[in-house]
Amino acid sequence: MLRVGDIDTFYGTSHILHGVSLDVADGELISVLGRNGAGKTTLLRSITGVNPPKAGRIELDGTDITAMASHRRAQLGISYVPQGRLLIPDISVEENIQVALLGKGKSTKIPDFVFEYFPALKSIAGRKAGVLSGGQQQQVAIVRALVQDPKLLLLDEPTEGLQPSIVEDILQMIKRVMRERTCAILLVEQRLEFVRDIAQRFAILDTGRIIAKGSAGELTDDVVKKHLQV
Amino acid sequence: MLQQLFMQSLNGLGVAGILVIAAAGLAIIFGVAGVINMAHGQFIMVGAYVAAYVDSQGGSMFLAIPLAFIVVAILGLVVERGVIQWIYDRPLETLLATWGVGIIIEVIMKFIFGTLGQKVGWPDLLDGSIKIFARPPHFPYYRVFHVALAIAIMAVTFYIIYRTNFGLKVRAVRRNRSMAGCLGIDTAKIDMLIFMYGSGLAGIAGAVIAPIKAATIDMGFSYAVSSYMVIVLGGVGNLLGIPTGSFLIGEGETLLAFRYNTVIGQLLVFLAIVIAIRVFPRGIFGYQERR
Ligand SMILES: Nc1ncnc2c1ncn2[C@@H]1O[C@H](COP(=O)(O)OP(=O)(O)O)[C@@H](O)[C@H]1O
Ligand SMILES: [Mg+2]
Repeated sequence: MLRVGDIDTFYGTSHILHGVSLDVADGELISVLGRNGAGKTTLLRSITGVNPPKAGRIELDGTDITAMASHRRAQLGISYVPQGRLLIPDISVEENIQVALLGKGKSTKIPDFVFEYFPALKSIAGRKAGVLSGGQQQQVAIVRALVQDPKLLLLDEPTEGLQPSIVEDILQMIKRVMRERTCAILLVEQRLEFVRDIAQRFAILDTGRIIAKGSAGELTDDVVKKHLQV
Repeated sequence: MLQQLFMQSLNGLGVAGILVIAAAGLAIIFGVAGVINMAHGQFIMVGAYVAAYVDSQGGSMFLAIPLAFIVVAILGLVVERGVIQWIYDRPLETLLATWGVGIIIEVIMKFIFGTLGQKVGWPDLLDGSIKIFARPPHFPYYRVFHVALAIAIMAVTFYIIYRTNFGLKVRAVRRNRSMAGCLGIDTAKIDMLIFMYGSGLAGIAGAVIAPIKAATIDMGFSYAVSSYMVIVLGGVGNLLGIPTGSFLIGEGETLLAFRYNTVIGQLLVFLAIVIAIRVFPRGIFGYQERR
């Protein structure tokens, strides 16, 4: 469904991604790994159009989206849970989710299914997003993406800085999405056990290049030692 | 003496009303789209000429106000689509470009209407005054009208921004433009509509000011300067910055003019603002860069 073909992405004049290629198939979960600064976030920003690539091609279901505006990519089915969550801090949780609904041209009524994914939402819907704990913010950010019924869900380090118990909640949430929703997931994640538990495939980025990829079973300790340990 | 002071502070309120009306459009465009419209004074002037035209056809100011809104909103649309949309991310260029647009508007308006001003009549409804005390000065109806219109403009704007789906999108764009885009919001369209709305408000300001000052080519200048001062003092981080800045400047100028004279009043207010922005470098309610 998603084809990233040989893209080069820059911040100003600094060349970050060098000929990165990656395919995501319908309904699969692929995990992108790599040390800090490898270019994982930049890859997601290339796919969402926040930082479109200067060369190469990105296709979604055969449509060329390489230079398309972000909002049109979202309308075609790409939903994004960015690193650091980026909720709007001074408006309510409910309004944060409504922004995502409006962006997809939907009514502002929050669909019932999200309360099953995140039961605590009912009690915090009226609170300002900025006052929530990191874990709650992360769950709101995921739910905000899910109400858009994405074809492709981009998750950037959803467990970063969270306590183990909440990491488990996020894991269950993503597993549930895999079971119940028909969307592919591109997950950037540093926790190996997490990735081994849910990913079907992986790719490793290093200084802006893909240096290894394979099925989840191929993510052995040797591969980890060679490419990921500092 | 106390009576006079009271009347003067009421007048100050009227001046604040005019300031709100004049500054609202400038503040909203700056607050959301991040553009300081250097052609704001000329937008006001075009609104005033719309009022002059309506007046010359026998129409009243109450007809001129919505018409000036529409005409100047369309002018704003042309300027935004023609120039600004390409340079939003380059603040210095938006300053220069809108300054140039202002000059072009002046040249065109001079060509059409000449350099002679056009007088604009008051609606009969606003003739007369409220006699609060037996002896003059009384509080003229037109000042009441300015305050009422200022409140109405702020109320409508608050409603749009805080109570509508469009306003929710605007707030999302203002907070984080690129993330709002990732959520599916057409941020370029929001910028365009806000530019139109703010321009339309400048048109209303012109239509309201025209009967006080007559419509002339350079009439917008002093109101534009006051509007910039309102923004600098009030900040645009919150819509409340507009009435707050307007109130402080309007009352300050009026009361100081009463105590000393107009020139000294304006000078002291200007000095006070210079001191105030050492305490509030981004205005009382702050602002954010476009991002
Ligand atoms: N806004 C930016 N401007 C310039 N360089 C950036 C910017 N964001 C990230 N970088 C650089 O790009 C490289 C990749 O960053 P990033 O994609 O955030 O890495 P990761 O998500 O894998 O940690 C890093 O070297 C980082 O310093
Ligand atoms: Mg990152």
